[in-house]
Amino acid sequence: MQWGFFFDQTRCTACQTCAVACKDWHDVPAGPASWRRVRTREEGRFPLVAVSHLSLSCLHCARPACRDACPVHAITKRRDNGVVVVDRAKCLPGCRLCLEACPYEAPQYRDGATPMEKCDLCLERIVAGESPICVNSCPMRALAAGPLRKLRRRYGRVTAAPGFPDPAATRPSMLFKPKG
Amino acid sequence: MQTVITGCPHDCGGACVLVAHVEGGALRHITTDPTSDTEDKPQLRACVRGRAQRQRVYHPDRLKHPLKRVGERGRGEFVRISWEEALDTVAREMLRVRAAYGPGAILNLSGTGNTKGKLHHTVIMAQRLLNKFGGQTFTNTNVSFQGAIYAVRRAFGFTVGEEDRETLAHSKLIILWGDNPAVSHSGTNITHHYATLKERGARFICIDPYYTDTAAALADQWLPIRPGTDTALMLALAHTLIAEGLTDQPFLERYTVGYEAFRDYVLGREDGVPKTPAWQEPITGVPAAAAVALAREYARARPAALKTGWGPGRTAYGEQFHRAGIALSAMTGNIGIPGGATGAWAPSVGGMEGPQPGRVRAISPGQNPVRNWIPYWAWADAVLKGTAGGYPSDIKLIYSVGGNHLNQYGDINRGVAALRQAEFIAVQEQFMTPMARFADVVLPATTHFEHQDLQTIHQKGEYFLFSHQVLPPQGEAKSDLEICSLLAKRLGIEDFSDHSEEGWLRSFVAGTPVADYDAFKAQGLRHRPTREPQVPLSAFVADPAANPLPTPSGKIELFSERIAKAGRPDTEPPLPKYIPSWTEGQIKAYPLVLTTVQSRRRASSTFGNLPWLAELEEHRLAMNPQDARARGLKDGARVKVFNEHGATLIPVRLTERLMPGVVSLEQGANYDPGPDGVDRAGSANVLTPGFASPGGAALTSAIPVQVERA
Repeated sequence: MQWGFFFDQTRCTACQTCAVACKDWHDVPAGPASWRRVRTREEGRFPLVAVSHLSLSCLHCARPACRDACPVHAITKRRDNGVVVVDRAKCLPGCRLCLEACPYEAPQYRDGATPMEKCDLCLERIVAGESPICVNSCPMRALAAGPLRKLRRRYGRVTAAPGFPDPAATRPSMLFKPKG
Repeated sequence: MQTVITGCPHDCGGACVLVAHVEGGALRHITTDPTSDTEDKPQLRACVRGRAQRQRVYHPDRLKHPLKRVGERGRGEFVRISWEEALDTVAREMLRVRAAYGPGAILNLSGTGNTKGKLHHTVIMAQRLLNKFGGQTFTNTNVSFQGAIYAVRRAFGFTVGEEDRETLAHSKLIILWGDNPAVSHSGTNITHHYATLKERGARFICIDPYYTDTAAALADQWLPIRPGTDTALMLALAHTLIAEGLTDQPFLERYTVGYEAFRDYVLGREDGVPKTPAWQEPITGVPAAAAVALAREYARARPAALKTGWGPGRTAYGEQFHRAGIALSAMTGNIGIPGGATGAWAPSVGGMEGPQPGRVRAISPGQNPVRNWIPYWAWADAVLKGTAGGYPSDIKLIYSVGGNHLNQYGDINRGVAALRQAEFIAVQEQFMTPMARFADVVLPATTHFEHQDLQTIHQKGEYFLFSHQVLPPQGEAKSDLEICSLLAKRLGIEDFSDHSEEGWLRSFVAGTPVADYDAFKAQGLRHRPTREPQVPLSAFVADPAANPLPTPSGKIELFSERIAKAGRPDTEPPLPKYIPSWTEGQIKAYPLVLTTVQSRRRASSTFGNLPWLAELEEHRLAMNPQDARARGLKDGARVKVFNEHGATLIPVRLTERLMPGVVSLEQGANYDPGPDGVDRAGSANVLTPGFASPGGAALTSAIPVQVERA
């Protein structure tokens, strides 16, 4: 089974609640490491402007480029739910080859030479039957998580959205309701 | 890990459920409403600020000990003192000032540090203490929505509140005019509610100089408009409605007075200037054709809700914006029906709740024996001029519980002069705010995690929340209730607090839907029994003879006899009118128009210091690239924004989302003057004036400024 995320781009207001709820739950301090990030894209010229947001974390790809790039095999993909996890004890701080390989900036690092860290889909929470903290926090109910097959049935099969890199290379476990 | 339900007591317009995860006596995480999330009863989900609260409780800058000023006032030099010395000092000064000048010499500048708590309410706490001490000079009227209050009281005879959001399910069209609920919440979950209405087919039009996050998510159409000119567009919409026979004549005849006079003014019969769509175009920047189309759509999409925010009302003659909004809602027959709106609204006096049966009570402020009051915007002027300036007393002592008036009201530089002049200033605070820096004694207060309270959620109280104590007070901090109680003893007040904290809370719920206090406390969150969603003025519209409005005519007054009697037609016209701002002559010196807006990272000046929130987006001045090019500015360039009131230093953020000629600054950054006295923090109110519109509306937008490279 493969777990993944759904993101309703038409609902997101870039309020960033998901990003901060994630930092609070996983004890990630303010600084460069953010397991979930909301990015805003502005296009056009006044008054014909278009604005869209993307809330992205690790997308737990079917073919994780980070895993293939890691020289010490610190990154693995779980069999039970497809979650891509990092063994921070094995990681070579400062190597960052996984970040170079990932199209989605999922690997994150704190200041200094710290091992890679990233979204683990709130493994502990989903194992306990709860939704990931970001999903649970969203004031717009724009995020969902679950087995991809279930998500496709409920939300459709769209895997592309404005601003989102081509999913062909790594097959991210990510579905969208795209804007526009 | 133990979980404990608390609320979130800040002045943001929402009020959400926070759940504290506690382990080993420490707050580990914050989550939100644990009940199930359904369409009928959505979870009361906290926003980004609530989720960052852990960094606020444990912030290294929390005030943990009483402090006494040692350096020059306002320089921020303090030493730690004991509670004994701090309370004795404050009590001695209060007694001295009362004996020498009378209680009216004490000015209460308490604020919205906690406005949701029924017990630990910062404003009521100080009012109660000072009233029992013999009285006070108190600031009256409202910095947020005085223009709206002026309008609704004159048109409807009372302070009309907002319709229940459920009734907007009937709206075919929702116009959000100067309203950005994605940031400035009008109740928990409001933007989510709008999104569901949109998905079910309602059309949204957003009118705002900025393509807001609300507009980006909801708007089928965005109409950018020059700040301070909204009334001109409204009049042009009225013109089209009249010219094309789109008005609801039966509604106007049955429910309003003064329509003929308003129609004559709009058509130009009064002043020779027809308020046509072409007339407004050079004023507002909205194309005439767009104004015509908007008027037609608004008239035909019935019911339609004209939802006016308070920002456009906080401008020169901003009260006219709200009056014109009411006129449009009446002309289209959208008042008093499900899916319509009144075109203007304001929270009713006495808190953010309308009159509700079974309402949870709060600690009482009591009566002010001195009956001195000054409008909020005049606080600094009143301190500086006193009775010589026509104010009711000479101010000698300033008392503030959770107030940051220096930062949050117009003309900070004048505020600094006022605070320097006072004989004594006492401040109860959680952090060293710009206001607290000017105190002689600072008393450290607990956050709501460190005491227990009751909160009602939403503006109308559809939910009741027991806000549990999560942590012991940090350092030597004490609750505002305890601080005031200890002071009261020293001041010889016997009856300041005749209950324990728990006793107070128990007394508040007796006879209400949450009468079983212990069960409520254990449960934490309680929904109000279901009632029909309410539409303001629906009884009047159903039967105007049986349910007349409390206006002189009993009807909606488009022409106000009360205003006419005041006899100031040029500045307070009895009809809603567009009056160009008195600042128009400043256009050469200050060619840009500043609008100040809410930040999603702060509730006014609260939360600005939390690292998790600060890193989300740098505090910058928004500017259109056209205006930046004319000044040789690149994105991120540090600029000086200035006008006749002051100057501030801040980087620019270039964006096509903002109308050219306009700059936009989020209010609430804490004033931080450099050695030359120029603010380095991008604090908006160094640029705003310390006076108000004739109707009392604050002047926080449509402010002429210039911007140049710093």
